[in-house]
Amino acid sequence: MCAMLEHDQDPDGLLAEVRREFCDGLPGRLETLETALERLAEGCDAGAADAFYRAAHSLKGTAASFEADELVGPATALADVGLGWFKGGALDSAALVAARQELERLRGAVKRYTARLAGGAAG
Amino acid sequence: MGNSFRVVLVDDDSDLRKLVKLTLEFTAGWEVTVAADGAEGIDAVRKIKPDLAVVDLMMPGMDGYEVCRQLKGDAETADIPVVFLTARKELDPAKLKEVGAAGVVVKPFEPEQLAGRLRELSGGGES
Repeated sequence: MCAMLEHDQDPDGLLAEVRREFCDGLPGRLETLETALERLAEGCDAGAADAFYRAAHSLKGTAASFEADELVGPATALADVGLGWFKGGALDSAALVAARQELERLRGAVKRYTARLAGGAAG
Repeated sequence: MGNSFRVVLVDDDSDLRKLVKLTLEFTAGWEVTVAADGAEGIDAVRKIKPDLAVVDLMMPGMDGYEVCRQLKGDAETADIPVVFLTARKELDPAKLKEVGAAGVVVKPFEPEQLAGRLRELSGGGES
């Protein structure tokens, strides 16, 4: 459990710090999605389906809460694809292609969000 | 801080935990304790006896429904309102009622309105 935040700090500064940490963690989130997708592509893997859906679903909600609007569309699409796999649906090639496309779209969105944050315009 | 509104926040996403904690502490002055999973959250609620538990629905291992079920099944924590925080828009009202949840806040939330909405759902009126 984390300790209380230091209240003598500036709320806007703290928010910027939390947003920066979220941004710094995006490559790790992408890697989780990529790894799970590759495992899924190699064959039916319930653990990978679970990891993929959870990572996409989590990113969808967190990105929206951080007003990282660029990320919400591709993250939502990935969560939608992943939900079918999570529920044990068929792992067909069309869905894999769609997931790879959305993952590519997410990579681009992460770059744009990172650039926006670096420019001080996020939020 | 002794008399402030106390919340236990349970969410497996560390970025979201920080954002919600920051939001509630600075917009409402609440005392927020965070937990990264269901078991840790239940321990925190049992120990702190907060005014409210805010629980992510979808977590690995024990999900939010199970956390709520366990808290409601324990006489020590049964009266503590549990509000779910989720990105899912389609939820089963019967299941929410069955586990005894006080309500749901769907992500994304409006930071300025989060404390008021949570207070309202937990039966505490305006913050």
